[in-house]
Amino acid sequence: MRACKFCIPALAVLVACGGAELNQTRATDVQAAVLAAEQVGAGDQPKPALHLQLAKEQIEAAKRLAADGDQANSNLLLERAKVDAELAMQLARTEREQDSARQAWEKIRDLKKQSTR
Amino acid sequence: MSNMRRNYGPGFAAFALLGAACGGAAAPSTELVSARNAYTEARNGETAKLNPGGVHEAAEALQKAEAVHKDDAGSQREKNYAYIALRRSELAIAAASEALARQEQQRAEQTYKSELEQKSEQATQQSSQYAQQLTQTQRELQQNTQTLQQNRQQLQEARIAADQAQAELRQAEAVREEEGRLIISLSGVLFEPGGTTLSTLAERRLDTVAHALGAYANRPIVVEGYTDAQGSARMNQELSQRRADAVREYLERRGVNSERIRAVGKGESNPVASNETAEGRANNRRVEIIVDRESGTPSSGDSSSSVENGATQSPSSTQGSSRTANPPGNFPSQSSMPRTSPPAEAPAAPRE
Repeated sequence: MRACKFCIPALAVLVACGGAELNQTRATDVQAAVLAAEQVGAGDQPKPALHLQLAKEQIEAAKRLAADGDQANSNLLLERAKVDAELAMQLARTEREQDSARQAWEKIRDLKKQSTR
Repeated sequence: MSNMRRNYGPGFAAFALLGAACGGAAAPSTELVSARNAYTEARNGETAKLNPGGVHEAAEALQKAEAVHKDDAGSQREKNYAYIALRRSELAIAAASEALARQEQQRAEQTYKSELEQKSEQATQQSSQYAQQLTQTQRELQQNTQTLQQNRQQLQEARIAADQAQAELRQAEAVREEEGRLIISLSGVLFEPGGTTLSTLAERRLDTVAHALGAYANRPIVVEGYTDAQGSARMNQELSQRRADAVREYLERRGVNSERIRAVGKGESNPVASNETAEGRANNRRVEIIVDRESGTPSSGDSSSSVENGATQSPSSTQGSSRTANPPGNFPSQSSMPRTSPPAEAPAAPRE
């Protein structure tokens, strides 16, 4: 999380330098969501990784639209990117919890097997 | 506030869907259809219970998409808002799945804990049972050890008593051992001439014998009476029986158990010396007290030939078996018996 605190302003600066018309507040929000998703390991699991990738592509597309002066659609794409990043993070967390639950039940099965031996 | 949101979201979205259906607007984009389906799934499934806030956000996103659809059907804006609405519904479903997984995990952990407690309780019970069994076994071992020690001590005492008794007897009387049997031979003047009354000296000698017999409490005893060869064999037989009976009765009075003692008259059989001399006849007039082997072990004196040979047995005998008697004039077969002279013919009448 400490790393995240340093990264977000840096990303915001980069975004600011890349395209003058991109909505800075929204862009910062989206980058924060992307970083948060990466930190929970969204890039390591297929489905979350897909949404993470979509988020990143949409950020790039938003930049291009902003550069073309289409601010409205750029903002919409940033919003899409944000919700994809959030979904990537949520899916990663869900899979992690489901794994933990599976392992917990597996542990019980092992314990019962030991009892029957 | 949160409750209001929960109630407001799904109702509002349903209203929006209904409006869209009845308004006769243009066909929705594929994205909007997907968003509507995802929202329906989120609203009707477990998600509404587990993540009402997320469902509300999905409803608001869908509502926005529907509004854009109404104003600008088929536009990129509609598709973008529908996309966002779809993702909101998926987000709500995923968050609900996470909550469900967390509940499952908690349930599993609780179950695991219960299982462990149960196992621990079982192990404690089993351990307690083992401890009880061990204590019981140790107690039994201790008792057995004590009993063994007592038995050893009793055996030792019995051996000492038997040794002492034998030593006493050996001092007082002629004692020999044959095939595990102890034979005490009392000769000399035991009875008044021709009678069956024990002399005072004989009684004293029998007192010593009775005391010694106490050391052989479990062994059967046979009192065998013998005469010399003077007089008729029949009368000698009867006399030897009566004298054996007299000795048996005396020993019983001195504490020897009547159930393990019997008397047998042997007459003039089995002479130990020649009947030709006065000394030999005195040796042949005798009483032998045989301490047999342990009960149940047949005595070498028990044999079918005793019946044929006419040996008599005391009517008061509790065992009822016959004793061997050699024919008149024959020496005993035992090699240990001294043979001092050849047997003499039996005289017509007993004479002692």
